Parts: sequence; structure tokens; C-alpha cells
Amino acid sequence: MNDLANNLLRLHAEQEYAEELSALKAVDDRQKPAHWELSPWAVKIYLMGGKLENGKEITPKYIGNERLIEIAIATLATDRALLLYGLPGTAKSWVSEHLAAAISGDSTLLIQGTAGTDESALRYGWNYAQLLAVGPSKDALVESPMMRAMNTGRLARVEELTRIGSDVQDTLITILSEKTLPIPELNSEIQAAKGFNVIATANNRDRGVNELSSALMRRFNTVVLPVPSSLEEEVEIVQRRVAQAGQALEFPVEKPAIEEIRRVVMIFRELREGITADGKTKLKSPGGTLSTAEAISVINSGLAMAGYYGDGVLRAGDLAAGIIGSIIKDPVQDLIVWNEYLQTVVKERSGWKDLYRACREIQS
Amino acid sequence: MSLHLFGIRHHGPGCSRALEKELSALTPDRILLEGPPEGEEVLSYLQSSKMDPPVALLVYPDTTPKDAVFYPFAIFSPEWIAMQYGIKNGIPIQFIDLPWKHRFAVDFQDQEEIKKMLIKLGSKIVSTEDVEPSKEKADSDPGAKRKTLADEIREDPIGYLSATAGYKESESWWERIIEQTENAEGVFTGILEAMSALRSAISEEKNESDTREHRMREAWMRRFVREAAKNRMEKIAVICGAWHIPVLDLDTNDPERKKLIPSKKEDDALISGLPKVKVNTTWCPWSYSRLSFRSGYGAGIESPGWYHHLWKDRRNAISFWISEVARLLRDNGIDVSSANVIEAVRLANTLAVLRNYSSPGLSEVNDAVLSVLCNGDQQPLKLIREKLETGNRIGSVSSDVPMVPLFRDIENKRKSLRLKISEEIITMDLDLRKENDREKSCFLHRLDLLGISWGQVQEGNTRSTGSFHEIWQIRWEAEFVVRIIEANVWGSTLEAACSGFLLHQLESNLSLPEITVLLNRALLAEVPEEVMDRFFRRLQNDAAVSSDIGGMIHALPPLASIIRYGNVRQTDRDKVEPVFEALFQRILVGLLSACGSLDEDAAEIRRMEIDLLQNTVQLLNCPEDKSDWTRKLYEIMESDSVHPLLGGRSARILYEQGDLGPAELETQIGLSISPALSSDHVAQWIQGFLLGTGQTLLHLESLWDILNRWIKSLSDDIFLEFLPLIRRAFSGFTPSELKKMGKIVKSLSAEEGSDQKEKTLSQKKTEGNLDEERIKILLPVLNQILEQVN
Repeated sequence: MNDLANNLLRLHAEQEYAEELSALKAVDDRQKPAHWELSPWAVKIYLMGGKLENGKEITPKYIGNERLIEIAIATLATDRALLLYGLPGTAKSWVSEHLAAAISGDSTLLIQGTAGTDESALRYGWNYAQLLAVGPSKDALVESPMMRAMNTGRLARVEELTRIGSDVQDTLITILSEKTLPIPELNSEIQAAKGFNVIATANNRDRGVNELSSALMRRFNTVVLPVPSSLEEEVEIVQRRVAQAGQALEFPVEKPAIEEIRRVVMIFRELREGITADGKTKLKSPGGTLSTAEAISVINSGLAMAGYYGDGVLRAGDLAAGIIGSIIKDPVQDLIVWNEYLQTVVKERSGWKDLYRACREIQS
Repeated sequence: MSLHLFGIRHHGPGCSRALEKELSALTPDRILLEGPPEGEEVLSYLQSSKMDPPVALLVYPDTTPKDAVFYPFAIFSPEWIAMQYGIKNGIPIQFIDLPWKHRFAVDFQDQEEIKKMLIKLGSKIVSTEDVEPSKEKADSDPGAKRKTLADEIREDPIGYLSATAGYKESESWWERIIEQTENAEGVFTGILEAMSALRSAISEEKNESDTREHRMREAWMRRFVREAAKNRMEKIAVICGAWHIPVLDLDTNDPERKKLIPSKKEDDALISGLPKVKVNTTWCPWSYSRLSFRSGYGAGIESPGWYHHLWKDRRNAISFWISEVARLLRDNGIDVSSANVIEAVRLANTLAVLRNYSSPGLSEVNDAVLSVLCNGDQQPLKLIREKLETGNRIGSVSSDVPMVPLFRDIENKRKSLRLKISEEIITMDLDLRKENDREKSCFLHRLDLLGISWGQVQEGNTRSTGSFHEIWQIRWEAEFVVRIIEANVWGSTLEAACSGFLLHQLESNLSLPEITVLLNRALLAEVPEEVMDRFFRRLQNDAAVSSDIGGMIHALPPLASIIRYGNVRQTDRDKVEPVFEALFQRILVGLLSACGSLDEDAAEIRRMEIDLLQNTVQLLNCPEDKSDWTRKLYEIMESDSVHPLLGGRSARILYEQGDLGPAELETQIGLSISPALSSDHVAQWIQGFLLGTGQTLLHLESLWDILNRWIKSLSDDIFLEFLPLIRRAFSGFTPSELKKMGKIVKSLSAEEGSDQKEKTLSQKKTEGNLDEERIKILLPVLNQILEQVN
């Protein structure tokens, strides 16, 4: 087992944290909903971290607002489906995986939503050889993860729900409201065992991909996972990730200037939040996501620019193009937003003159 | 004799519920309430059914009503419950706090600080110190020495208890244990014990930081308790802020607690021979928004609306509350089904279990609403917060209560300005350069701002630039009295009330144009600088997120005139300038795209806005702004995507300013009025170009040349096609202007005639080659004229 684990690129949450889960289970004496591996209180400790009575340390899986995790767990306990909503890179799938691992002990009942996801991924498919040989029968049925979750009373996960076509999405309606999955071909149905529930994740910036119908939306409780709450937290994440990328790609630059990282993160945060960091001036927000991940890539490309074409030191000029490129996604609206920001904020901020000039140069 | 102590938290519905039960079980023969003894005079008004809480007991010194002090009561306030109980059952009620006739007279150092703190509200609101004695003081003093335990407790006793009990937020422990509990039994004994422990802890540290005022107040309270005991009252109920309860417990046998209570002798020494001033007491309507924390009221509660709700129906509170939320959301265009409401209630209950509470509190309910009804969107929660949690309830008082300080202030002001109250219409011509007239104008504008429209400025005579006259028509209406009493919520002097009202307005959802209108009114009413600052900040913030270019443009002129001329209050130009500049830059950035995709009406509106902007820029005469503006006008003129009316307008403005030379203009006209464009486009462009007063057009001589040359260049077919359009463009001028224009055009064609016949003709003229026949006809007339001159 250990050899196998060492050989794997990535472990499932329940494998990686098996020790913590069993430690929690050992001390967990509170009431559990049917088919739950842990009680809701223990699930919360598993996600938020803490110290058990026997001294065992549980690492925090999600760093952020405790209340959101409480809502998520309470939702699953009320047998309502849970929709985790948020920008890319806000740990939606991560939270979903760990919730499933803690509650069902199994995070693998996963349906990846894509434009090509069809009904059989959510319901069931057929083994055509069997189907042709003996006709429709239980044996010819190919179970979907959803069906397996219903049979065993576990959590099914649907990733990127809004990427699935609307007609396929609607399959979920019966499953979520009636908790049954009809199989008309066999004139039978699957009725979900207690403990079954669905965690879906969706990206709230990709508007209009396949907006959830209100009928489906109504069957979910929504929890919006926010972007990192403080500038320091985000700068640290960016810095660490950039340092990793720098190693892997072997940029000829010594190390990313923290000041520049801070600036990029600040610009992204300010535009994203629509308010300056000092809270004094409101701003318009552009249409793009401006996620932490994008800040990381701006710094990375800036480093490459500085290393290959510049003097090896990350400067405003190396970053300007990347910043503008990630902010202006819509050539009309976003340009207005960016120009306003440039004129009212960047221009006035002391020590930002170089950036202002660099940006003006590129745009003119 | 038995002494029954009820330590409460002001406006705590849980305390009220417990108190109600205990009082009816006890049937006391005297009720002692924490409150100003002066209030007893007006207690009788509570019998009237027209007293509808929230109302406030109002005490103010006769000479300076602006120092007024309010004791607000909501329907769920324990004091209100006690008063109602006493009145209904005929039990005498006594207010036992230190009387304000002394408190106003003694110059407490603390009072100064509180005053400073609350100066913005224009009034002092007390009963804050009881539960949180000096929180603000400590906050405002970050450099203070390290806090001792006593300081910590004194600052926030409930927070301290809360932290001891392992709660993270300072209020949540009290909320859970006292306010939301169903089981009221033993609550007050518990409070007494907890507070006694805290106060013993403080006294052990021998910290003499209890203010003199504080000690005097408690001494005064004890005096009443002793008196009641002396009068052989059987059962005395004392209802008082929890903090004071331990030191009123005269019956205690516990030696620890006994130590807390000074002797009668000490008390008498402290409170005898205090100076006095004359004070007035009355009731006035109050509002939930001013009861809430956010309005700066120290003993305020976070969510009066929620408490009101809990008080009305404890049992079904959650279901009713969420249903009410659903209704509010539906009214605001968010679909919410009953099934959703059911799910939200279930989630709230489950969350309460997960968080180890016996029943859901407001935070569970909000989490559930957020997740189920709002799909995780925070925005609607703000609406819920404003409309339901705080609530917009305003109380009322019966009409026979004595008058409020605002009324008094207005009366004084009115008398000093010698304005007569009359039901007749009086017309006044105010010369704003005269001190007295300006004050009158300001006074009337302020009243108008508060909805007391005693006077109206006559249209056409409003203060346009350069005019110093305002014509007012004033007429008094009886119902103004009621409005003044209502407006007293905002502040106890006219100025303070205006500020309070405007600040409140600025908190609410106003559109940019509404703010602009309000800004104009605020300028006329000459409100204090802090309020104007808030205006500017709000304006800036709103402009940042707004795409309403027009709204922003309309906000500029008042700002510009402050910068250019200053105003009476000398609102700091340095403050206005950045606001103006930010707005201006935002407008410039967005203007070009705001000039496209418009229909004819919208384009006309935008055209007026551009003119307005032009006037503003000219008024300010700031070279930087001017050059930015000119550049933007060029962009508009040259862009293909803007509405032609606006393109024409920009060309006109540029030409008038001299930025666009005649040759350039000609090119531009050629480009914009080319036959390749639709005739409608051309007509709009010409109209945009020509619009305005004909006078200026008459003086632009070269313009006529250019137009003339353009028309000449048209082929006959195209000329015929354009003729009606050109005619339409000229249709807006007055007949006399048209006549003059006609003359110019004629002279142009005359010159042309001369042009065409080349110089030969002109040479003839100069050589004096005259038609003698025709001159002869003229001669008699000339003779006559000359004779008359002679």
C-alpha cells in the first residue's frame, strides 16, 4: 500500500488524510446522520482544523470563513444539495473533495462536468454487448457515479456544473427532489439510500455558459467561496507559487521583487473589489476574473520578460503588458475601467509613476 | 420590606420578557426605574393611546436645547415594559438616576468627551455608560498605558463575560444566555451575581477610575432606594442597567458585596448641595434607525427590527421572519418560493444545532437566507439589513406633549429674523449680499430641506450665477408643527437636524442625480462641513461605480461654482477640487462611448449635457482641464460612432473657442456633411452645429463664408436634397435673428456676384463710373436731409 501511495502522483483526500480521519472517528461520539462517517461537528473540525482531546492535531484544510463551512455541512445534513460557487482558484473542488471524504469516506464518486457530459454520466449507460445479447436487464446496465452514490448513501460530486448542457443538467432535478432515478427501460427505479447527497461546484465568472435553470437552482443551497480576504494572505500565496514556478522554469532572474508582486496583487484586488486599498475611492470592476492565479501568471511572464529581454530585475515595464492584458478582456468596457483606474489611482499614488508611464507607453 | 433588583440591558427583549413575568408575579408597590427624575412630570402622557414606541424621553436645559439628552424606548425595552405595567396597575413609578438639573449644571470632565464624540449628531444620547461605561473613551486613546483587568472589564463588561464563557463575539454570549432564552427563571439572580463578581474584581484592584459622575449617579440611586425603604414600601422593584445593580443591593448579606456599597453618609456627602439649572422634559418620536448601533448611539442595539419581531411572536419568530424576508425580496424582484422559505427555516435550525445553540439566532437565519434565498449573493442581505433588521419604524407621540427643542430653536430663530407666522402668502425679496437676508434665505432653505416648506423660491428668480436676489413666497401651515416634531429625530437644532437628515439620506440608496439635487439643497442650506465632506465622498464613490455620465455631468456645476466663487461657508476648496477633478476625469473617460448608440431624444439630452460641461469648464478656466476637454471634443468630433448631433456640437464648440481654424472647420464640415452619409445624419450634424442662440452665430463671420462655400460646392441634385434639411436646421431661430441672418446671406451672395464678375467690375466702381440717371433720383432726398441738418 505504501509503495503504491508513493508511486502515485496525487492521493485522494481520504487516502492522504486517512490518519486524521480515523483519529477523528475515534473520538467522535456525537450524533451522526444516517450513513455519515463522522458527525457534523467532527466534519467541521476536519475542515477547519483543531486539536482533539487526545492531543492529535488536525490540519486545517480550508483557511477562511468558518461560517461558510458550517453552512455547507448543515446543508448536507438537511439533505439539500450543496452548490459551491466562486471564482476559479477559490478552493471549491478542494472543499468538495474533503467534505465527501469526511462525510462519506469516499471522494471518488465524481462526475466531471464538460460540454460533452451526457445523460449517461449522470444516470446510467448500457453495456451494448450485453444489451444485444440478452436485452435490457440489470446486468446490461452500467452504473454512473451518481447511481452508485444513491445506492450506497454517499455523496456524489459534480464538478463544473455550469459546463454541462442544460438538458443534461435537468436530469438532476428528479434526482434532487424525488431522490429517485427512474429506469424506464427496466420499468424500475433506484431509490436513494439515506446519506445520499450531491455537492456541485460552479464557476460564477463564466456567465452564460449554461446558466442553471431556476428550477435546478432552487434545489441547491448556495455557498459562495470568496477570494483571499487580506492583501498579505494573497501576496504570500502569489509569492510562494511564483517562487515554485521560477524554479521549475529556471528564469534567469534572482528572485521576484516583493514590491512588484505587492503592486500587482494590489491592482488586482482593488479592481476586483471595486474599491481602493485605503477604502477611500470606489472603482469600477472589469469583466475579467482577476484571480490570484492570474496575478501569478502576470508575475511569471514579467519575470520571463525581465530575464530574457530586460536587465534581469523585475520592473514596472516588464509587468505593464501582462497587467493590461489580464484586465482588458473587453476592448470597450474594460478599457474604460482601466483608464479610469490609471488616471484616478495609479497616476496619483506616490511611487507608482513608473508603472503609470509604462502603462501609458504601451497603450499609446 | 423586600428589595427586588432587576438588572437589565437597555432594549433587551429577553430581559423584557423575563421582567414582565417577574413583575406580574411580584406585584410590587413601588417601581424604581433608572431614568431622570425630571421624566416623572411627563409620565402621565404614557396613558394616551397615541404614544406609539419607539419614543424618547427628552430632557434639555432651558437655555441650551442643543444639549438635549434622549432616553429612547422601544416596545421591547424593559423600561417601557415596566412603565406600562406601572401605569396599567396604578403602581407609583420613580426615576432614580441623578437628575439632569444637576448633571447639566456640574461640569463633568467626561461630559465634555461624550459631547465631543456625539457632536455630529447634534445631541447627546445617554444611558450609554450603564452597560459599557467608557468604551469610546478607551478606543479614542490608543496610546494609553497597558490595560489592567479592571479597565478591560469596565470597557466592555459583557464582552469580558462573553470571552470568559468562550464566545468569540462580545455580544453573543449575552444574546444567547439572556436575550434569546425561553426560560426566564433565575435570569436576574444570575445577572446580579455575574455583575457583582465583576464589580468586586474591579474594586479589589483599588482602581479609582470610576468617574465622579458615575459615583454620584449611583449614590443618587441608592438614596431613592433607601427612601423607598424608609417609606415602608413592602415590595420594591428596582429596574436598572445591569452594571449598577450590585451597588444597589442594600439588603445583601454577602460581605464581599457589602464592601461595594458606600454608607449613607458617604453618599450624602457626595450628592448634597449640587448646583442646578432649569430643565425641560418632553416626549418625542424616535426611530429604529436611530436606535441602531450604526447611527452612533452607544447603548444602541444591532437589530431593532429583529428584536421587535422576536418580541411580537417568539414562538414562530423564525418562520415569520424568513417569510417576511421572502416578501421583501419578492418586492425587489428576487424570486422566492414558499418551498425556499421552508428550506431556509430547516437550514437555520440545522445550523443552530451544528453551532450548539438551542434555537437559531439572527446569524443562523442570515446564513440560511444567504444560502437558500439569495443563492449566495451578499447584495440582498444589505437590503434585508436596512429594511428589516434595522427597520424603518418611526414612533409617534400624542399631540398634547410639550414642544421639542427643535421647535424651540426654530421659534427662536424665526423671532430673531422677524419672520411672521401667517396663513397669508407673503412675498419677500431677499438680497443675499445683506447679512440678515442671507440668514433668512438659509433659514427657509433649511426648513425646506426638512420637509417644512414654509416658503418657496419663485421660479425664474432662483440664484443663477451672478444674481443676488431670491424672491420667496412664504405661507405658514398648521401642520408644520407636527413636521417639526417629527424632524426632531434628526437633531435638536435646525442646523443639527439638517445635518442628521442629510447624513441619513446619504446612507440610503440614492441615485446619482438624486444626490446632485440633494447636494444643491445642502449647499443652499449651508450645512456644516463634515456633512459636505460626506457628500463629496458619497459623490465620488457613486461616480466611481456609476455609468450614468449625465448624472455625473449634472453634479459638476455646483462643485465648479464652489471652486470658482467659494460659498458663504467657505467650504474648503481644496476638498472640492479633488472631487471635481475625479468626476471630471471619469466623465472624460466615459464620454466618448456615451455619445454613441443614442436615439434622437437621448442625443438631445446628451447635447445639453455637453453644453453644460462646456460652461463648467469655461467657468473654472483651468488650463489643464481645458486642454483635456478640448482633446475630448476633438475625439467626439472625429469619431464615426457618435451621434451626429453631438459631432456637430463638438465642432461648433471647438470653432467658437478658436481651437478649430476656418480651414479645419471647412474640412470637418465637408467630412460630416458629405453626400455619402444619410441625409438624416447630415441634418442632425448641421442642427448640432447651429443650435443655440442665433446671436453668437451672427458674430462668427467666417462661418458664413464656410457654409456658403459648402453649399455652393453642392451639385444641383444634392442641393435639392439638402435644402429641407438646412431649412430645418434654421427653423429654431427667432424671426429677428433669421432676418439678420438673411441679410448676411444676401451680402455674401452680393460679394459673390462681385467675385464672379471679376475685378473689372470692382475697378469700375473705384473709377466712379456711376449711373447718372439713378443718382438724379436720389438728389432731392439728399437735399431734404441736408436742409434738416442745417
